[in-house]
Amino acid sequence: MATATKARAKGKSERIEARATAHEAAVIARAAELSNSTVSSFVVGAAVAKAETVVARAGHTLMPAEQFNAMIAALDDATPIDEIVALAKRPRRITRR
Amino acid sequence: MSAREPEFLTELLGPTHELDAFDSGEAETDEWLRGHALRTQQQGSARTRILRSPDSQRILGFYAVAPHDTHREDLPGSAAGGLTTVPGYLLAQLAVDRSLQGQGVGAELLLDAMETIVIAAEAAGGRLMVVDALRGEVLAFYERFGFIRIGTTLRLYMKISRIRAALEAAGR
Repeated sequence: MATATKARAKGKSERIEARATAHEAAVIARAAELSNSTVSSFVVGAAVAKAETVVARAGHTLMPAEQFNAMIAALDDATPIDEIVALAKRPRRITRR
Repeated sequence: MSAREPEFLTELLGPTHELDAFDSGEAETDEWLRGHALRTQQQGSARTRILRSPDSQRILGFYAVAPHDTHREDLPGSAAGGLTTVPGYLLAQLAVDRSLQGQGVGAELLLDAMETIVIAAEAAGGRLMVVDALRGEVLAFYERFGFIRIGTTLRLYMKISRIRAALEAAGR
């Protein structure tokens, strides 16, 4: 109860459950111990790191074949788009650093 | 004679920037900036550039860019010949603080993102800029600048060669 209250106080309101073999659980417990972490925060930390990589790499887009073929037929198209030219000609409020 | 002080500047997200006050009106976007942007950058999967006033570390806008491939979606069993993947960059996030919304700052930040992507493509290759429009009005925003919707998804693309041509035509 005390732990649950403490966890919620840190904004950790969600609960995730997972099943593991005895061996997997032992390896995780050992690794958590080695990194001075609880099993719970070790598992969540590792999963979040992995999840962020996956999300960032959700990294690819699928384009319908017909649209894709039309797109690559003129991949070097250098026709300026008027709206972008106009945008780039506007007085600038932003400086790149 | 002296150059006017710039109103805003963009730079790579760093540990000195103040994330907490940022409010785009989209909780998920704000949460991404606070909880994930710096770590994603440290992992090397995306880079975030932030907008701020020269005299403050408070974040007023930001965007994130990550390497991104576009694949031809071949139907199962169809012969997949020729080029099937085009490399490029995904504009994963783009947001402006509420205090600055409706003043064209978002469009100017988009231009900054285009410049970032053109620079990256010059240095390391890449042909397409892909953007995510999570809502209908964002779709219209990107379409206004010539982005083309991919299939019926909420994702759009533009050829980097056309962005480069536009920047050159504007003398940038």
